[in-house]
Amino acid sequence: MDMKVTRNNDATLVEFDHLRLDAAVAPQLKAALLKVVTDGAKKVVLDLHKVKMIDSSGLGALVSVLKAMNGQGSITIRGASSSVMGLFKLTRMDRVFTLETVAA
Amino acid sequence: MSALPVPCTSHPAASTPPAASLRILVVDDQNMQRTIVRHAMGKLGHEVHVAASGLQVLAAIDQRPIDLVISDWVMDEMDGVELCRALRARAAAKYVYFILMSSRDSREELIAGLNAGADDFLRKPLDIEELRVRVRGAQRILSLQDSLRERNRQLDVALGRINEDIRAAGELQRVLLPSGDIDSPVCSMHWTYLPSATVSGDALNFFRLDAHHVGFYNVDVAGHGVAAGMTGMLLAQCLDPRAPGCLLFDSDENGRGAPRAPSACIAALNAQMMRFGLGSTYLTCLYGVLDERDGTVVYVRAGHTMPLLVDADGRCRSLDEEGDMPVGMFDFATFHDIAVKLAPGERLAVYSDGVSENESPEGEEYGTQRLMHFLTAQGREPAADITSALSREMRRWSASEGSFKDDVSFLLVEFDTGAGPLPASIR
Repeated sequence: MDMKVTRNNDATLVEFDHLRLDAAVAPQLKAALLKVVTDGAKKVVLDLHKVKMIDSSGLGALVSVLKAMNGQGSITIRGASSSVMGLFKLTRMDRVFTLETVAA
Repeated sequence: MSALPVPCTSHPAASTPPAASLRILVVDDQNMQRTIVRHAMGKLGHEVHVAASGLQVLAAIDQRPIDLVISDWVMDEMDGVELCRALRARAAAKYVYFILMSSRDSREELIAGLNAGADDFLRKPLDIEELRVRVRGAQRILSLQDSLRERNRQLDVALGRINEDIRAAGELQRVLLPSGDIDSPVCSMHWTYLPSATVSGDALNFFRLDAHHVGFYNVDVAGHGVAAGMTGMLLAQCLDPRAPGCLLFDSDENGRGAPRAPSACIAALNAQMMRFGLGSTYLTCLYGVLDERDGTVVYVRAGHTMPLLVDADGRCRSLDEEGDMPVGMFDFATFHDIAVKLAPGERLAVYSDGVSENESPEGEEYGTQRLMHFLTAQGREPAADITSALSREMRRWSASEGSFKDDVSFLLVEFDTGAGPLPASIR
C-alpha cells in the first residue's frame, strides 16, 4: 500500500496514494493509521485527493481508527472528491470527521 | 559418514518412499557408467533403476514413479538435454529432479542445460563424493517439494470446506428474503435481489405490523463474507415481527404493544448492535412504516442511499432529506423520522448502493441519475415488470450473467394499486 506519513508540529499528515479506498486496501490503511495513532498522533490529517471511490469497508476502516483514538484526537479529511464527500454526507460522517471543503 | 538417516530398505513399496530414500533412474548408453552410478546410489540406500536411452525412459516413466533422473548428456537417438526437455513437457503431477552428467562445462552448454530444465550438473569423469553431495541437494529440494505439496493439499481441503460453508450460508440467507407479496388491499411490494459472489450483506423484507401499518426495510451490511452475512441474519431476527425479541414493537404490560416509530426501532437496533460489539462491522438501512389509511410513509434513513419517489406519471425524484448515521457504528448516534405521503399510484423505490455503485466492465458506476432515468423510462409499467427489468438492466450494465461485486437489492413500495376506493375495513 502506498502511503506517505509526515509528522508536523501540530498534526500528522497521511497521504493515501490509491484511486480506490475499498476492501482491498482498507485493512492495510487501518493498520497503518492505527500505528500513527499509537505513535502518539492526536491530530491526523488524511489526504484523500487521489481517491476516486470509497466503499463501506473503507469508511469502516476510518471509523475504527477514529474509535481507537477514544475521543482524544481528531481526523481531518483533506481533498475529498465529490464521491468521497458524497459518502461522508450520506452517512453523516461529516459529524465525526472534519472535512476540509477545498483541496489545498 | 552421511548425515542422513539410515535408509529403511525394508520399507514396503508405498507410493512415496521415506524422505531418505529416492527412486533414482540412471540413464546412460554406456553400461560401465550405469553400473558405477547405480552401485554408488544403491550403497546410499536408494532404489535405483537404469535405462540405456532417453526413449526407454519416456516409454517407462509413466509406469514407474521416479524422483530423480541422472542422465548422461551425450547419447545416441536422444541426448540428455532433449530427454530433459521431453520430461519437462509432460504434465506430471510430481516434480522430477534432473541431473545432467557431462564432460562439457562451457557457459553456453550450462545455459542450454538449464534452459531445458535441468536442476543440476555433474562433471565427468564422475567423482562419487560429488555425486553424493548433488543427490543430497536433490533430496532437500524434493522433500521441500513434498511438504509444499502436502501443505497445498491441506489448503485445498480447507478452502473446499470454507467454500462449501459459504455456499451453504448463502442458501440459508435466501430464507430471509420475502416470500410473496404483502397481505394488503392498498399496497404492494416488489423487489429484486442479486447476490454477490460471496455471502451477502444485503437484506430486505416487508411485513404487516398491525391493522393499518406495514413495515419494510432494506439493509446493507458493510463488507462481505461470513461476518457480514451473520450480521445480516442477526439483524433479520431483530426486524422480524414473528421473532419473540424483535425490536419493531413497544412493549406494554401485556407484552407486545404498538408498532414503534422507525426512529425508536432503529435506535433500539443501534443499541443492540453496539451491545453485540460487532467490531468494525456496521450497516446502513432504511426502515419505513406505511400507514395504509392515507399512504403516509414514516422512515429512518441510517446511512443508506436516498429513496426515490416515482409519481403516477412516472416522474422520479430523490428524497434528499438529511438522514442519520449508519447502525452499529457509534453508541451516541441518534435517529429521526422522515415522513412522506404517497399519493395514490405513487411508488417508493428503496435500494442498496449495490445498484448505484454497480460497475460496468470499464469501471463506471451505474449511478443514481441513471437509475432515476431508468425508472422514469419504465413509467407506469406494472411494478413487478419494473423489478425484473431492473435485474436485466443491472446484468446488462455490469455485463455479468452470474454474480456481482456487491449485492444488488431493490424494493418498490406501491401505494393504492388502483383497486378502487379503500375498503371500509381500514378506512
